[in-house]
Amino acid sequence: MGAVKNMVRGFIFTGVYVLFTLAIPLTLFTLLFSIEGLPFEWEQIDQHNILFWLTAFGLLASGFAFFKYSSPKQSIRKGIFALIQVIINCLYLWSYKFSGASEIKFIIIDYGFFTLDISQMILIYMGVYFLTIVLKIYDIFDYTINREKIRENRMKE
Amino acid sequence: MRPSRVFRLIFRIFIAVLTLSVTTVSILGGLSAVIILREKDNLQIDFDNAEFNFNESTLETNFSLPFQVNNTGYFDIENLELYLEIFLNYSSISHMNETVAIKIFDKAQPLDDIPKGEIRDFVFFGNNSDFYYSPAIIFDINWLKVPPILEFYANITVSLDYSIGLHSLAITLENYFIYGYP
Repeated sequence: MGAVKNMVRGFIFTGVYVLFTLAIPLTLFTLLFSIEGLPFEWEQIDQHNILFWLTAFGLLASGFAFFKYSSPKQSIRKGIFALIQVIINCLYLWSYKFSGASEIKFIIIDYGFFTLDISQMILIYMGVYFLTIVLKIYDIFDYTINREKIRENRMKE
Repeated sequence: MRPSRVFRLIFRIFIAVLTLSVTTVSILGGLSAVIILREKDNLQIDFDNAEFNFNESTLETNFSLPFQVNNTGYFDIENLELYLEIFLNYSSISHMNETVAIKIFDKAQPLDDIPKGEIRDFVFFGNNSDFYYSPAIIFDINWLKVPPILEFYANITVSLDYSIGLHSLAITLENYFIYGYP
């Protein structure tokens, strides 16, 4: 029964990741690229590049979410997948920067243009993710050292 | 609960608080950027009161450009800077009377930070020493052309940082006509 529960949990979280790393960003970018009738135009030369990297890392993050969330609680498997997941999430965030999505440029017709640069914000989030990586490494050591105790507790449950 | 799990929980709460703080600052910073751009008057370059002095025989030029910034956002505006490029358009004798554009001015003026909710007035000055005309240009200008013989156009960029530099914003006015001689 526990295995089925874990699988369902894995699928649910894959869905959540698909929504937040693929569906919402892709819809947002597609809308921004195609929006018409405004006093300004969206100019993003690298839009194919942005969409490619967001899709690539979004798919990877969503795929690994299944393995992470379907693994048993406090298992070494979960620890390893959680670490990989955080690293992929970092790459996903980084893809916003290196694909050019963090520097948004709008052309204001008959006026000029404005740019909004949020790469500093992405770097701050990367810093927070670094702390999460530390936590996940700690988890792997914890799950390995206390393997017996975790198993005993799991049996009791 | 095992002691290692308690330590982990504390660490996790710390990360959650950090993430929430960064997210709040990011959202408010993004909103500030939208708020300041929504109203044209928030960033007003006062061309009506701008002064442009040009001496055709010596090519001596100086100007002053007043502008006003209204910080309607949630955070202080930092690293505010006005960057100005001026191009001179003229009919060139060496180019068979074709109109050519040369850059004659290029200057960035850093300005004071603006606390949230405050309005600040600034004046951008361009002195003759900031202009870099080649003296030979005076012989290349077709002075017999139908006026205006000389046209001055500017690219004006206002750049600023919001929320400890998490959002950097730059607004550029392109090819703005500032002066025509005569």
